[in-house]
Amino acid sequence: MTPALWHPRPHQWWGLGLALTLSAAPHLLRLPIWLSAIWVLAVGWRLSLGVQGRAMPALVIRLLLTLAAGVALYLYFGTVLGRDAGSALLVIMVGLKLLELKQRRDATLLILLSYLLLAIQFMFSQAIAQVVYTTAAVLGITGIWVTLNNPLDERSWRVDMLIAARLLGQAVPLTVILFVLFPRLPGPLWSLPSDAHAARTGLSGEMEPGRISQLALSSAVAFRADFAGHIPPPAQRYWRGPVFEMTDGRRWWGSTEPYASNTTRALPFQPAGEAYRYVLTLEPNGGAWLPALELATSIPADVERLPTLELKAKRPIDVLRRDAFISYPIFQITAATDAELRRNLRLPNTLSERTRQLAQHWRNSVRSDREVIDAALHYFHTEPFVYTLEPPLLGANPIDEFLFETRRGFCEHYASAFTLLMRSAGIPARVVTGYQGGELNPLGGYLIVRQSDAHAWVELWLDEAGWVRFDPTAAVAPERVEHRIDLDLARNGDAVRFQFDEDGLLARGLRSTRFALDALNNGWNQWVLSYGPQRQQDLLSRLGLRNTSWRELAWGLLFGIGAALGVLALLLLRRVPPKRDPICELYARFRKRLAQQGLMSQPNEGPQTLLMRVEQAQLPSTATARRITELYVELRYAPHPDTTLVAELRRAVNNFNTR
Amino acid sequence: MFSAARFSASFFHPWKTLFQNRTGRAAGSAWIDLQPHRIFILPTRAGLGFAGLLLVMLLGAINYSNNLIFGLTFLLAGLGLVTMLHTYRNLAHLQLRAGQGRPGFVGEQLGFQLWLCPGDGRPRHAIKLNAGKAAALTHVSVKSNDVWLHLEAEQRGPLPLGVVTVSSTYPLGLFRTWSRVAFEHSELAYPAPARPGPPPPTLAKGEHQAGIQHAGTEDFRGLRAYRPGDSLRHVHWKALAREQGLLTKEFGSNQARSCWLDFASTPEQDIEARLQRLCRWILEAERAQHSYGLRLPTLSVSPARGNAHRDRCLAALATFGVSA
Repeated sequence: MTPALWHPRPHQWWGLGLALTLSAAPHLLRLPIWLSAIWVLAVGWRLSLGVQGRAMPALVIRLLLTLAAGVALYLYFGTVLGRDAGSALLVIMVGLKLLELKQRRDATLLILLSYLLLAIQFMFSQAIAQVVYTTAAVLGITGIWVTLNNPLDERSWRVDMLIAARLLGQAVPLTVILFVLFPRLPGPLWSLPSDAHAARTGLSGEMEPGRISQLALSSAVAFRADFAGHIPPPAQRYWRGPVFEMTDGRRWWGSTEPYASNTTRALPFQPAGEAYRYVLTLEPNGGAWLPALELATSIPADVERLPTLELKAKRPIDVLRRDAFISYPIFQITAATDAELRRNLRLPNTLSERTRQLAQHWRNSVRSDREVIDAALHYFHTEPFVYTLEPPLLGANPIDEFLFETRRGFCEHYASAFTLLMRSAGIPARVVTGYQGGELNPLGGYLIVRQSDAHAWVELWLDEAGWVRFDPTAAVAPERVEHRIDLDLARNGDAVRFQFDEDGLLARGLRSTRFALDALNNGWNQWVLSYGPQRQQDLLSRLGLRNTSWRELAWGLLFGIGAALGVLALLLLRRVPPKRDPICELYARFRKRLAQQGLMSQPNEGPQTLLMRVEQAQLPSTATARRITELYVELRYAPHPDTTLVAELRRAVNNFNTR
Repeated sequence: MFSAARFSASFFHPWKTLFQNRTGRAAGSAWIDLQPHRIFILPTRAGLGFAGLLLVMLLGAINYSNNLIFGLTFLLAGLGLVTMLHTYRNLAHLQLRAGQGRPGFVGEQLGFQLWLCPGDGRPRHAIKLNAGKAAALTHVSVKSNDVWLHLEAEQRGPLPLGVVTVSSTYPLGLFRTWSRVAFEHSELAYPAPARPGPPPPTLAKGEHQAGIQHAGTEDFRGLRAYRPGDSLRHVHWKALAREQGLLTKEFGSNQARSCWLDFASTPEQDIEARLQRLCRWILEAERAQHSYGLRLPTLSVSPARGNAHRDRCLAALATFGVSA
């Protein structure tokens, strides 16, 4: 049996169109313009046909459109799988499904798909604004759903929206219980498509001129660090990322050679000075690096410490993660194998004789390694080097060109040039990338580290001290270490300008607004986006429930939902005492007083017949009874009763005394 | 059908009654209240689809560790659970009562009137009533509301309304809640009038033709106030012109024009055919404003006329030989 055809009324057509638009709009803004245009045209066409009561387009047209859209999508994305292509396919198919709306269940299906599209949009954006939009859209779609389910009449859309708001409002406590108690599993259940997560910027597994300066143009937040005690001074805020030992003169990458002394459980460095405890909330970056403050002693379970002491997660960081660390910004790394030192002395074949000679010159003119280093830093400081975000392009021999010709560069230029100069002078050297600095948010009391804080520095092996950090950029632009780059002034190829605190009133106002927004975002990250297995356990143990198994969680969940539903059912199903008309109420009292006197009135007895019996009974207050009846009949049955008479009726009934 | 899960009642009633047929019985015209233990609720196909969507979203949320998808999934799950309560509430303590119906002839639709009233003062939406092939859909406002169910009469005699299924999927169509109420109320199906044929035999021949055409309009009896439904041909227009208001001229037939419609005098022999003929005669006599009486083997109705008399005669035909 085929279900009956459904003929929505115009307001239901418009509602359905609005529901689809609400859910598809965020996708349409992202999809290629021609695809969005096809969608809008198809939906608009069907709506105009439907509102006029005309039939859906012919099967051939629908098939051709679907086929064409599918092929076009495949040609554009090269696939129909994965997050981007898959969601685009779903969006276009939802639009085309409207073309063949026949039965009521098609409309229900479209409403369900609208919710799904809203959910998928969260794979692209998890900003607070997106949540605000989605909440409004869910309310709208639910209201439209109520409209579609009302087969009888057309009432104001406000009524349906109010019903939807009430339903969703009552669903909120259940949502909270489910969100908090639903057992969270770590990691994906099956392998994700390669484009499962939004495109991320972050530290890269290799470095070449221009890579970090590109990153540095982004003011996106890389991570936030919330310190338990006080915050390390700016000069100690080096957040360690990938360390590079191998180079071909242009490109740098990490060593893949095995290390001999990798198996010991002992800490591979000696902490000194003060310990800092903090929670690092890392934005998803697609890479696997955890840029902890140099150097962290404790590391999370799913993270390994590489021999070069950077921290790397076992899986790419695709979702926000939150880890607690203890770091010692002052430390000594005194252990190194011969192979490690040899590797860090290797020079690329492309390195020019001129560079080698410069280093040899320093080596020959001074005695100690320290003096060689000082000479090199002095060279950067005194020669006309410029620190800029937009350095000129370098040719076949980048180090040489940078050192002797262009002399304009960003931190990666200085770090790689300095490393190779030191290796030429016989000092083992390696490049460390990561972030340097961080902005204190006075509202939240935490440090914000942005992609623009990405940095590269150098570690040199000194026989008496081990691996020691040197920052050649500081020799060129000492402010870099103490102040942030002012991105607004940095994009014209000029030398980098830094942010100082003595800004104008407007700048300060803007900055405090920015801090307030960031504090909001941080709270959002902490409490919503990073709520995972760990956070769930933390929260439960704070409530006194330590080491809860998922089985206990499931029971708690069932109990919580049951209790909430029970309370809601009691509230919803309680009997409301019927609201009685005050006039009827007064008249009922009158009858009751008559009954006390022995004059029982029959339920079907009208006021006039009752009065007649009162008159026959010759009660002393017959006159009052007559007046009460008059007033009651006037108030109840007159087309436009004089409502001021209610007071008189009340007086008369109160004074009515049968004795 | 009744091996279905029930909502809420299971908390308050013994388990052994869980799977029993709980059809309410409405005796006479008493209000019947849809008590919680009479109400069943199950997800609809749309509800199962919604659950499927939630499952897909939940898997996506787990797989992508996306807390916002978790949040949206849970919000929609909460919405579904809340909707269950609202659908149930839409039916709980709804009160029904059979009203004055509309009898009819065999082959016609008989009207059954049901009064609905929210027992707890809450308006109800999109309440569906089904009885056999009859269906109706109504809102129930705070005051009492009536709704009509129409059943086709297939045979003469009382047609019971029987079991009425009251159901609702409001507000989102995710759940269907229903309750079955057996009404003892029935409406009469009169025999279908026979094809036009011989006139009632006791009408004088010759007088008959004129009688059918003009009888009852000849003897002027007097004037009375106009009542809605009076023929405009009988309005005393001159009186209206004299601003005396709307008056109807009353005509009447005298006792001489009364006739007996006798079961024994029909040309047909078959009982049903006789009844159909009598039915035709009653209608014709009434239309002609004759005074007529009905004589059946078991009872007779003395001559009179008017709608009430006609209905009494037709009812006698309908129930003839039918054990009440």
